[in-house]
Amino acid sequence: MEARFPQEYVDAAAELVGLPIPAANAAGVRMNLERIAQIAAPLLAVTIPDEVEPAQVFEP
Amino acid sequence: MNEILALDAVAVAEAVRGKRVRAREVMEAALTEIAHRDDELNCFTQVMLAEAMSAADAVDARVAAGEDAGPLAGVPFAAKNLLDIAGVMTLAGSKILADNPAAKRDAAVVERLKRAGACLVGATNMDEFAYGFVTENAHYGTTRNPHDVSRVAGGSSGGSAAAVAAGMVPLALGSDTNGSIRVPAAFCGVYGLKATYGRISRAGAFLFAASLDHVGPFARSVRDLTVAFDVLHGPDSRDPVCSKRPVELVTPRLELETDGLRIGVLGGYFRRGGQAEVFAAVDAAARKLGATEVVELPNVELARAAAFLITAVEGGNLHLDRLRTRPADFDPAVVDRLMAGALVPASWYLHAQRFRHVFQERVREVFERFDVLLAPTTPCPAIEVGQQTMEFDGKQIPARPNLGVFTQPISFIGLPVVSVPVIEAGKLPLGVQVIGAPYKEADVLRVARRLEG
Repeated sequence: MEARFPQEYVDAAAELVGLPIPAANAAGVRMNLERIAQIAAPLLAVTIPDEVEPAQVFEP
Repeated sequence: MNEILALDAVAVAEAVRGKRVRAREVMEAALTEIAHRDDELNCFTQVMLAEAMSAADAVDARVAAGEDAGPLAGVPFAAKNLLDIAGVMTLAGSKILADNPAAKRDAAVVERLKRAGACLVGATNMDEFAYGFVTENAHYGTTRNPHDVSRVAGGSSGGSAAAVAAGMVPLALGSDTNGSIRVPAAFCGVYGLKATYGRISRAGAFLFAASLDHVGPFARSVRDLTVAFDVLHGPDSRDPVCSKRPVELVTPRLELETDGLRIGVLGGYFRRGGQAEVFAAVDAAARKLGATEVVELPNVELARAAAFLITAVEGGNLHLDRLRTRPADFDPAVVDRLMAGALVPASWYLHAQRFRHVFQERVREVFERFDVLLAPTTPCPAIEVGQQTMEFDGKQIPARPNLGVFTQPISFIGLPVVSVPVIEAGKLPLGVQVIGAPYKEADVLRVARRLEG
């Protein structure tokens, strides 16, 4: 599977967010980001109409 | 087990109110059972002996004085340790929060159960920060399944579910973001209610992914679950997402016929990726209810993906400071996932939040034709402690993330659900989700009641 989160992204995002990733966690964080990317891919491929707002305070 | 502990909460309260048993005797029985069994099961992270006894004595004093001691008079209950208990540290399954000061005030749900006469026994074990389905906690140990101690209780509210299943308490509180009430309810063979999002106040709960977080009860009977719902729900200005809808009591309507309800069986996604016995359990429930029509929800996989994204991002953001300063003090099962969640692009997160409205609209159309939908709670019975993978269709797949495959898309849009236990002699328990339209807790509780008989 093609990596969706290159190490450069992980390093740059961690730097921007101010979250140093300890060496012990580096592989696990990368693996989890790849898993998130894999799960998210079909969702992100869906076009959502402009008028649909985010549901931060969600009313069922 | 003491015969008092075999009673459900309503029966305990009736006996206490009717002066047939004292709340003190009930509490002593509960505490004795916990002392006998909790070394093995590890349901509790804290038992509050003195407070529990004095709460029971206070109930007895009210009964003796001829006062109304409440619908849950003298009922011992437990609370997941992410719910504030005044004077106690709210751990949320973590080592890091143990350094915090003790909570000043009870969580709203704890407060409301106490007001109804219930007596708090203690706090229960959970996956760290509620990020898991197994209650194998690196700091506080594994909660064992009372039906088979080599197996997990499920999670993340595993301590509460197992305490109810073991007969230590008739009632307990948990929380559910993606299935954390329903999964342990199914694994432990008890009832679990996840009400409509916002219907039960989360004030004083240590949240996980606020957009998806619910709190709710476990019980061994539907009438207990219903009384708990009646006591727990209703507006609360302390919780910003709590619904302003007035209280709608379900207990007076619980025994109404369900013949008028249109009940469908969820097909497609909800008939794949599980062991045959979980689908057989749904079919048996459908037969009992006379439900024959199979209905599919559209885009369920995408709903699950979106819930997964929202959980990762909100969890990562909530814990960011602690991830920066104390990464080594997190549970290894949790820390990498939270760190990853903190690094996900914002546009992905918002896409998932917008998709929630898209999915909600599509499901709303289904509820124009049905009142209640049935689905399995989990894809399998309780897995072994430590089990990482499970065989499915001849392939080994990761077990843990898949335990929520059927619960996650439902909580994503906040629908009310009761997980109804299915217990057959010689087998591990399973659960069937009875799912309703928003704010229709009465429908799901009535159908659960029908399945109970």
